[in-house]
Amino acid sequence: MTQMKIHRGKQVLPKDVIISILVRLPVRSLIRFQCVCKEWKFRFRSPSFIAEHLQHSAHQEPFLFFDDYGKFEPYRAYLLNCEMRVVEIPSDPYVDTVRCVWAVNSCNGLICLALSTLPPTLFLYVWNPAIREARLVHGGEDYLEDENFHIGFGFSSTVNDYKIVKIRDCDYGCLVSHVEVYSLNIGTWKEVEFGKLDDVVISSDGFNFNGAIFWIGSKLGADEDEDDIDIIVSFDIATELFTLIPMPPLPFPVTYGLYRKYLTIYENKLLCYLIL
Amino acid sequence: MSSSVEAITVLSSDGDEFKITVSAAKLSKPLNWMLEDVCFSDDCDEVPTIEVNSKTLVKVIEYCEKHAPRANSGASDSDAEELKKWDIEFMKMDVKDILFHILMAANYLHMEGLYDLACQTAADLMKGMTVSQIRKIFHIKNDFSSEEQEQLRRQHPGCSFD
Repeated sequence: MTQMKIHRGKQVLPKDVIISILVRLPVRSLIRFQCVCKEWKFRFRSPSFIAEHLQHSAHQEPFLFFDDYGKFEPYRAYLLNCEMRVVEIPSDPYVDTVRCVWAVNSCNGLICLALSTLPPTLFLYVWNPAIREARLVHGGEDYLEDENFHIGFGFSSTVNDYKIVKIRDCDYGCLVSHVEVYSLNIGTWKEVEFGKLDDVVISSDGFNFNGAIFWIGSKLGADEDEDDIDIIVSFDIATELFTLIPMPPLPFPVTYGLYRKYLTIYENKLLCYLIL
Repeated sequence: MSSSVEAITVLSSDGDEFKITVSAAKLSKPLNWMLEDVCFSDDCDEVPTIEVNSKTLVKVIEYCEKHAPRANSGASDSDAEELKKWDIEFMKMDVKDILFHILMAANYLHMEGLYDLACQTAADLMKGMTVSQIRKIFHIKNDFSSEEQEQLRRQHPGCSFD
């Protein structure tokens, strides 16, 4: 058992008990209290503290994140809280200055921002607006006008790591030509196998849920007579493996291609919906 | 364990005697083990000591007696709501004087519910405190050099070391 220690005649709580209290503080308080002492400042940044804090905060104060999508104006991001109040996230100076920014996805309060400049160059940032820190994770990759990136960002509690997946289309037929994964823990990019995506066209940015990232795509028919099939591409953040998931059958007939599909979460399940 | 008793007597670290019902004592793992190992009956004169002072033990027993019926049988949503309100009233106490002792007692007695409640209460109280109040309450010294303070201020405008 741990007991209250006596320090210069005063009773002091043991360290593990103090940590149990600190992990229950909101991020805003942690930012203020990093000024208490060096040990706290470093502890708040340690993976074990962050993981424990996440456990306590994940189910409290959920926010809906939304932003001005790709406008050629200063970037604005907002949160909608449980009381249906909209809060603007104060921008970081560099975010204000860039041209075309869009949020790939948010996960546990971290936001993956993509920005492209002219001539076509891609930059990726992981932004933590709560502590006003941003990390450039991908600096300036040139690409062709008719190339596309499908980016995904998510967290896996199995490996306790955030990863960014960058899927690059080739310039012909929009087929996947290159897949790279960035680990926030390791801090480097690496290429991964994408054999299953050989004849797959991806048409969305990644959506993260439950340790995986999902994209909407279609599998091309083997020849001209065969129809393309809508599918969901999933990427397991821990094992870094792709899986193709068939789409549920539509409840009514819809002309192929005349609708857009979106992914979201409903009652803790992945939900795909169509907008005609 | 003998089922002949409904309440047991325990001693606080100050040597005072307290009665706690068996169902309430079961909220604590060590007390539960004790109940299983030791034969308690009316003619049993063994009185276990709990290393918690009298003032704190009164509160811990109050919590156990209130929570025991729900822990043992489960309860409806309205009961849960009522219990939540009771918890809030119960936790209205001074941080240094008693809350920290309750925290230590809940930790020592392996009472998850009370430990969680006490930690959250302490965290909620800390939210409104200044950095120097926090240092005082946890007996921490400011060990940042003036350069380090300046750097943190640049990074987080508005952060204060006082």
